Amino acid sequence: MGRVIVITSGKGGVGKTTTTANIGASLAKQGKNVCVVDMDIGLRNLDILMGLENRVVYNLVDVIEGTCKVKQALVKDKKLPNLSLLPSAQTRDKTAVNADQVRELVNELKTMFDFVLVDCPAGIESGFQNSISGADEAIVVVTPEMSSVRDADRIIGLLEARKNELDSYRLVINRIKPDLVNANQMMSMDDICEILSVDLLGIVPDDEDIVVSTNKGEPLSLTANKSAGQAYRNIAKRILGEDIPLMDIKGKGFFGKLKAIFS
Amino acid sequence: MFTAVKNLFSKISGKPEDKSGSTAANRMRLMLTHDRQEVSPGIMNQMKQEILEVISKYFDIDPQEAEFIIQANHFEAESIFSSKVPLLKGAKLRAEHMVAKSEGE
Repeated sequence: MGRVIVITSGKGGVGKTTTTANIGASLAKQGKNVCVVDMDIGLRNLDILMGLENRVVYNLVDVIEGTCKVKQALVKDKKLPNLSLLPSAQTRDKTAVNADQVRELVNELKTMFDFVLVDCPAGIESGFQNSISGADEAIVVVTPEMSSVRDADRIIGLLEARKNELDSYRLVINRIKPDLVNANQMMSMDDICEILSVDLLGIVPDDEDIVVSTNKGEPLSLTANKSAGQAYRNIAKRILGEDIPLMDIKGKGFFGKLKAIFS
Repeated sequence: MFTAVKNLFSKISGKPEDKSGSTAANRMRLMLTHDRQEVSPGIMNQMKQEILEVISKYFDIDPQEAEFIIQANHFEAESIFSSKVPLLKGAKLRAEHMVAKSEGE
């Protein structure tokens, strides 16, 4: 039986889909059979990040409505044969499925894969409730901004209310800007962990290469050896139980910036 | 380049407590306390005023220095409300209450 991990945040635009794609790709690179599920019905995006948008035939709603079998809807990754995507429907909305149907679906996927990563839509309504249905674990993605931390706290409250169904939930702090943290102009990861009192799974520095990798449709964790790519690989290894120390996120500082200008 | 120089100078001269990172963290702690208790800051303030009024019937207090803290999180069933209200130097129970007490005996 595989592990079902839902990636959620409350607030939109904090990097749930990027996190899902990158952790999924990293776990697959580690030899695991992985399925990433786009649960954002009506706002399909995970296929783009993985560069698979042209291969989508059927989607999650088709599977749930019985139009096709699960295997027919799964899209295999271009590079990693053990990584599959279950795309979301673009022309339907969140009312097309319910929590019981999603639970049944992820339970079926669990028998086929080592890991099922569910990309949850923003918000705390039915899309969120559907996404956490059947999940064994949760990853809460937060950025060091007040609105994101507040929404994450709300999500943590909702997850805590279902703790008899969830084995664990852990935090990923995304888009840390080292220079701002060093200048104490941004909440530090220590602040955020203390405020939310949740275990930390990983930290991801802000990285412009994410934009480039999205443009190409290749998760950064497969190619980049530094910064965010490395951070996502570390997270995947921690999920697999390895004891990897947190990344040392340091700003370039004054001389580093000088160097960057002249290089 | 200019911002780098500016940051350097602010790093040397600025006190850490002046920086927005700490401000954000402090605002966040207070905000989440209210969120978790589902009590609006307005209601909290109203309650604080009423508590201070009651205490000042009995003691001379310094309302500016009063602190009210709710310790609440998602993980424990119990939340704790605590308050710290400093009395003015040498403040004793107001005379009228002392009289009332002795009369009652």
